[in-house]
Amino acid sequence: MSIAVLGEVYAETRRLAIAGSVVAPGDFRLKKLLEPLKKAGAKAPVFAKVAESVEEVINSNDKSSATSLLNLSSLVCSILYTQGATGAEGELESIQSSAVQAKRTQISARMLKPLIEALTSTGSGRLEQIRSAIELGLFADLRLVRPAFKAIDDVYGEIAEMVTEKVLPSYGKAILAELKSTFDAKGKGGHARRLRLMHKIDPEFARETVKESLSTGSSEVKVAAIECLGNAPEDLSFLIEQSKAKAKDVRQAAYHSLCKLPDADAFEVLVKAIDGKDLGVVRHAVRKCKPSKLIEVALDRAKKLISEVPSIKDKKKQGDEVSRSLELIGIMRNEVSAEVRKFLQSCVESTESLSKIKSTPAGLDIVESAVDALSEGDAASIKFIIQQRDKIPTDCFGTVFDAGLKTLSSKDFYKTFSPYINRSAKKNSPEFDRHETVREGLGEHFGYHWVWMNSDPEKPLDVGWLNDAIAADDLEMVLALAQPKHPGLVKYIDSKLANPKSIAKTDWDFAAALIRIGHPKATEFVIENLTATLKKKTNYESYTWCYMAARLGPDALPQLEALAGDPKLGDRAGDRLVDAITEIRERAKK
Amino acid sequence: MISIDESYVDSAAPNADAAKNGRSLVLKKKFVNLNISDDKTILFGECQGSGKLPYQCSCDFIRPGAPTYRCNCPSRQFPCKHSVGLMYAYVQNAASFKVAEVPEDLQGKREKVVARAEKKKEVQAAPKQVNKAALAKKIKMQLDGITLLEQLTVELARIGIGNMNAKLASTIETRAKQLGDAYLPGAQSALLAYTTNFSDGSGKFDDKIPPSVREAMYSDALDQLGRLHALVKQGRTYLEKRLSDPELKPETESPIAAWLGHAWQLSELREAGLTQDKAELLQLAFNSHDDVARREFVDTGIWVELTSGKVLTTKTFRPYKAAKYIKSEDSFFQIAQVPTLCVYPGDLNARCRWDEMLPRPATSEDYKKVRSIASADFTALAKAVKNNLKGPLSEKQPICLLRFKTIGLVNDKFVIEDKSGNRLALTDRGMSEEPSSVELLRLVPADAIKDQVLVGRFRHDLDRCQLEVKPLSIVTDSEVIRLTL
Repeated sequence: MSIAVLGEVYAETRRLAIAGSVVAPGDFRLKKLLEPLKKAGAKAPVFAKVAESVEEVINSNDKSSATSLLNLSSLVCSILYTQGATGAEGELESIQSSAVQAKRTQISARMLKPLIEALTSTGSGRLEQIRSAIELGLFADLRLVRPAFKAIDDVYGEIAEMVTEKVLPSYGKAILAELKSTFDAKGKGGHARRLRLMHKIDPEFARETVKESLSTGSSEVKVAAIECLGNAPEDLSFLIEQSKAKAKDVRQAAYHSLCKLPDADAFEVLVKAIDGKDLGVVRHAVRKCKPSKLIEVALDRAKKLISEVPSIKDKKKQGDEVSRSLELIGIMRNEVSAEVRKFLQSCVESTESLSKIKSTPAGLDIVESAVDALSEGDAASIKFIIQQRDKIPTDCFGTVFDAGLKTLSSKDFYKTFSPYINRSAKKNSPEFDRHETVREGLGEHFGYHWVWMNSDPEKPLDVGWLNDAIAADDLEMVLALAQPKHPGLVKYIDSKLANPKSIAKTDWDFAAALIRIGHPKATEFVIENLTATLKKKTNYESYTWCYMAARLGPDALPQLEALAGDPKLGDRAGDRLVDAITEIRERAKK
Repeated sequence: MISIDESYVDSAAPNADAAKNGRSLVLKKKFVNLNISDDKTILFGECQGSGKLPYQCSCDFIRPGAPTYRCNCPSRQFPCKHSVGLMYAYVQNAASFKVAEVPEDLQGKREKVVARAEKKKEVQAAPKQVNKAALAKKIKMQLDGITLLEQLTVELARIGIGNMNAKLASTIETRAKQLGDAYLPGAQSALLAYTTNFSDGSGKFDDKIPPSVREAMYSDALDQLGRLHALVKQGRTYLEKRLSDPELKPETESPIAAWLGHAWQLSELREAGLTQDKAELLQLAFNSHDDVARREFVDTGIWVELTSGKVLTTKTFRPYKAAKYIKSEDSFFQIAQVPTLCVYPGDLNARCRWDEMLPRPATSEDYKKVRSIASADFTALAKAVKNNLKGPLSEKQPICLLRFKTIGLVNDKFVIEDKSGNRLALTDRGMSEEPSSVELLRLVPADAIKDQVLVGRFRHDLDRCQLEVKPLSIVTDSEVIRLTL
């Protein structure tokens, strides 16, 4: 069958249908096709039929042209529908499958639709929905790939960043083509994210796009492109040039990439920046990647500066130099070598002399910064600040306390820091400040009911803390440190339960402690308070008590269900109780 | 005996909110009475609402495949949250239901249901009485409607597709309402589908579409115009035939009746013998889309009937105005056992419905059955599809099962190949009902693109004269990997 002529008839019919059938009568292009159609019609009757229909259109008038044209179009379309080409010539290449793991392709439409809506629309409440979907691993469902991809341009930057960081990289190279095809160098944040993501998934694949974006990109894309450089020696000259740019974010990106190049010229630029006005910019730029030689330079400059600062008379200049010292210590953070440690230790040991510098920022800020840097360092660094705990400023004591909590054994931690509990210390005295720091530190890590309910402490505290608190009748501290199976604790708690007035101000913490130690009266206490709160109908209190109730064991269910069934219960409180009951049930199932 | 579980109640709820509210009612102890009949076929109880008197609700399983839900609450959702809650209460604690005598009025209703079901059977057996005068009057009005449709179609062809504008679109939409008045809702939708070609996402005429994009729409518009023309011709012939013989039943050999908007009743389908007994269906894909032309949400399920091997569809239309009150369908992962399956007239992917269904878990045997049903010869399949496409009123995007040897790339384009090396191109082009799916083939496990079954939607591209396939799902020996929603 001569498809070509039929194709032409279709094209002409389409043209006339677009222009309107009024121009169809006598159409000369259609006339030209009549002869070949008639010729083909001699062999295949269907062409004769088409020829007849074409003739009808040509010979039609204003009135009949529309019907004739519709007849012709229907006939040609019907024939063409039977002639659709199939197949594809060429070698069949296999697909580089980067399978999304998991078998979660069977999520129901009712579950999937709201999530797709959250990813592709605007409005509040979406971030939490998406975060929980990430935690549940729902994004392994193939059908979420496209909506997740769309979220890269979400107007809510936090959603876009979260999806770019946590969801899209898991799809691997399979999304590269789409990332590239939708990338616009002139675009804004979403396109900068695309470029970074392409580079993260496959730096080689992204290389060309990165290079093009350097010259044609918008400011955001350009910054992203500069950050993606530094893996090839040819990037050097461009990066050096960009390190002189007017825009701070461009310079910062250039310094970031220069750090990746093991080249003397690159290093020279970074040193120049450290010695110049861009010291702060370099400090931000080297957060993720720091060449050791650069640390040495920072160390050298810091040593020199700190030795000179005390002799500067002009307070403003002195403050500026202290500020530079802080930036230099900032560069050294997380990279504590023996040399760096020695320097930082010397700063701590010079607390007395540095405290005499009263500029803004002051000399003590250098000590504080050094203590911070040491607390993030190796075991020797931490050991040093713990040893120096009585000599360093009180403001730094919290940092030392935290470092001790992380690194010392429970016993040593108790032995080292329990002497600072001094309940008779005078207010505003250094002893009182240290006492408060320890109490607050313990409370923050182990006590506050929201904290412990959401996460378990990494290691238990020495029981000595709790013994001391019970002995001192420090209820707040006891509740903060309460732990199961402590011999004296239940007795102490029972004595407080017998005297409700003594616990009135701490009832939430008290309930939290009861639940935590599995006290037999925990359920009774929570239910009692919950019932009283529900009667008062105060919103925040009912919220908190329902939150507590959700942490009770399955034995509390009958009572909670009875409360939920109270006809006088308000709708909102009722819904909260229902949520608490559902949570206990779900936990019991697991 | 009532054998239901939580997942059954979840799927019986009209939407996710109704399920949540139903659970909540149980927890809030809103049910003041929970009862079950002596023969364990009906749950009934009272649920405290906002009013003085509790609502009386019941779930009647006297016909296990088609339970009856009743409640005297004013909700238009069906089943309402009270009936859903009653079922949750039963599956969570059956012991809390007391055996009680079914109240007299409820018993009366139950008897009516049984009587109605029996009457239905009798009615099915007996020929349906037709009011000939009324039918003749209706057909005359439909013929007038067809004349109107012809005028509009001719007018559109005369003006030209390229000269379509907002004013003309608005006029056509106004006049399309007259087709609805003339008992031709199907023709009305077909006409609106023409103007929708030129509209934006909200259904309004989009005059800002750039000429290059507009050019691409013209082929679809011309195809739709041809369909309207065929509808006029075939519709008139069919209606004239019916007018000359008012007892003539609706056409069952072709889908012309549905094209004109005939709403098939299950009884009519049964009467016409369009049924299959003891059918078993596996859902292959599901989508829910917004049909702007019809002003309805359409939930479409794509199923394979395991005995006959036919690919069928279920459709639930939820008009915008009533969407809240109509149960939205959901994906279905089990096998639907249907005692009597009613199938609409049509060739490929005929619509089907049932009024009774019992679920059972899908097994690997079921997936293997799908494999045996699928076409392994793409040349023969393409020929059959083309033959179907040539009918102006036929399904233009039929769905078929393709047993493939491999899915790969030819010149960077996705291609599916059978064991003889015959290929079909895979594409998303022109098929916007479901989200795009081709690129997802890079993300499926490697063994899912070798020697499996593809559920594909065919489409003929008139401009390029190409027959292409959009992948909807892949059926392996153990699962259906859904690529669309």
